[in-house]
Parts: sequence; structure tokens; C-alpha cells
Amino acid sequence: MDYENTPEGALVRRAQAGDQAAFQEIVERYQSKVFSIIHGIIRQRNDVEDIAQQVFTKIYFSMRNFDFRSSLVTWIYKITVNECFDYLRKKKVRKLVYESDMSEDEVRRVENSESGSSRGSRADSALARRDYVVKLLERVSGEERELLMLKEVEGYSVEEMADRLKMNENTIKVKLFRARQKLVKASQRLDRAPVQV
Amino acid sequence: MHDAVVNELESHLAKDTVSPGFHSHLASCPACRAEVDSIAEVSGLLAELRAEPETSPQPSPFFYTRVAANIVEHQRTDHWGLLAPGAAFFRRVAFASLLLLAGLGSYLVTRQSDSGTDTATVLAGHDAIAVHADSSDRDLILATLASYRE
Repeated sequence: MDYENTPEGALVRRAQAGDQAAFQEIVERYQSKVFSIIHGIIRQRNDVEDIAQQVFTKIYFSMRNFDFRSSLVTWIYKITVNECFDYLRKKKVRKLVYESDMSEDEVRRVENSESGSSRGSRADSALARRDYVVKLLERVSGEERELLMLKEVEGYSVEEMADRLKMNENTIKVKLFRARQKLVKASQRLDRAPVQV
Repeated sequence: MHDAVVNELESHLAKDTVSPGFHSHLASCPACRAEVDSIAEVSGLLAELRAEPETSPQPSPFFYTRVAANIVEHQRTDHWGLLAPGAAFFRRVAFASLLLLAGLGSYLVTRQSDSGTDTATVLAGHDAIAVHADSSDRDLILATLASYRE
């Protein structure tokens, strides 16, 4: 059956027409999923709800643009992952602005303490490994990130991804292969960089 | 990497069954083997981002209410944003007004400095003064006029 004609498709149509109850149902249906995706990437409990609010606000305002080319959950997943990486990017910018107010000695001291602790703990610290993975994923395109996350984090098969994203299986395989190659290159570059992780 | 490996790479990474040709190719092609190993190592790291439902925070019963409030706040900000002094539209209007003022100003200055150079304007100026001037001034003006005609 065409996704547009499923009960969820009808729910989306109602939300697109401005039905608040339909939108509320979408929020309540996917809020736990969104919280768990955000927590998987960010790992900071305090920020999860704020980011989730932003995600659903974005969903509300772009609901009219949802064109049924993918399923609602895939679309929500994409928005959630993008919002998480936006959040991490902004956080990094804030950190850079903060560091620009420091003297050179102070910046060096902070960098040394960060790199030293990260290097030492990479093997045994899940948090450090997560930061490393996030840095790798920041170096691929949004589409590649989404494909890699759906495959490796959400555990979808190539067939399921092809079905959900309305793409040919071979296209998915080739796109995934290229994305994985970029990850390897990014990893080699990060490992060569003086400050890692 | 060779196409045969690319075609079955996802199955290999997912530990699904692959054709015997895949393994025999890897055994005979060190370049493909090295690349597959690097890809498998880096791809395995992505598992770090897998959600852990037992440790993941759960939405509060008021989550939807907060989302709705956030939406209203965004709508209000957007409406006021149109009238805010920093809004792009108003910046453009202000810039266009400044350009118009500058153009008008320079036109008026040019016009001012040009006026009084042509004969008719000089004469008209003298005539205007002549109406209110006393007789001695009138003589002076007539002398000026006579010298101009010469």
C-alpha cells in the first residue's frame, strides 16, 4: 500500500491541514524515539529535552513540506540527527568564541588538558569514543550521515533503507560505500592531527 | 576497490552470507583487503551512537505543552521579527532612503553652485536688488549694466 494512503499518511495529511490534535498525536507517537536518538548522539541528559523541543517545532513548521517520499519516522529521524549536529556545531562555535577571550597560554593549557585526558581515556571511555565518532560524522555530508546512522546505529538493512528512502538498493550500497570511505579518510586525518578526539 | 567487493561489502559488514568469490578475492587482493579492514574498523565505531533505551531520558507528561508553547513563541518572534529594526527588509528600506537622500543632497548642492553663473541670473539678481536699493545704488547698478553691455 502507498504510504500516503496508510493511517499514518492520513494523520500527516490532517496535521498538514492544520489539525492540532493530529500534530499532538505525532508528537506523542515519536517523542520517546526522538529523545532516545538525541541521547544516543549528545549523551547529555540536560540538553535532550531542549533539542527535542526544537526538533518538533521544526517538524511543525515544515510539516507542509513533507512529500511522502519517505516514511514519517525516517523524515523525523533525519531532522533529529541534523538538529543534534547543529547543536554540536553551535556548541563548538561558542567554545571557540570563549577561547578567543583567553590568552594564548590559557588556550594551550585547556587544549593540552583536553587532548591529554581524551587520548588517555579513548580506549576505555565510551564518552571519548562517542566524541570521536561525532567528529568523524561531522566530516561527511548530511545525506551520508543519515545513511550511515540508519545502517549502523538504527540497524536497518539495505533493503529496508531502499524501501524507506525510496531508492534503489544498488544506489544505497554505492552511497554507503562512498560515505564509509570518507569516514576512513576522516579518521586517518584526525589520527594524524596533533590534537585528537 | 573492485566492484565485486563493493557489491557485497554491506553483507560482509552486517555479517550476512557472502559469495565464496568475495573471500577469494580478498585473499588475493591486498588493496581490497586493507580497505575492507579499515572500513570495518571505522564503521564499527558508529555503534557508539546507538540509543540505550534503559538510560535514555523519557519525555515528561508536559512535553507536548512545552512544544506547543515553543511553537507559539516562534510564531510571535517571527511576527515581531518583521518589524524589528534589524530585519532585512527594514535595513534595505533604510539603505535605499540614505542613498536617495545622498543623491538629492548632491543634486541640490550642484544646483546651488551652478546658479548665478549665467547672465540672465546675474541680471535678475541685480534687478531684484535694484527695486529695494536707494538712488546711489541704482547708479552703481546702471554702471555695472552698461559695462556688461560693452
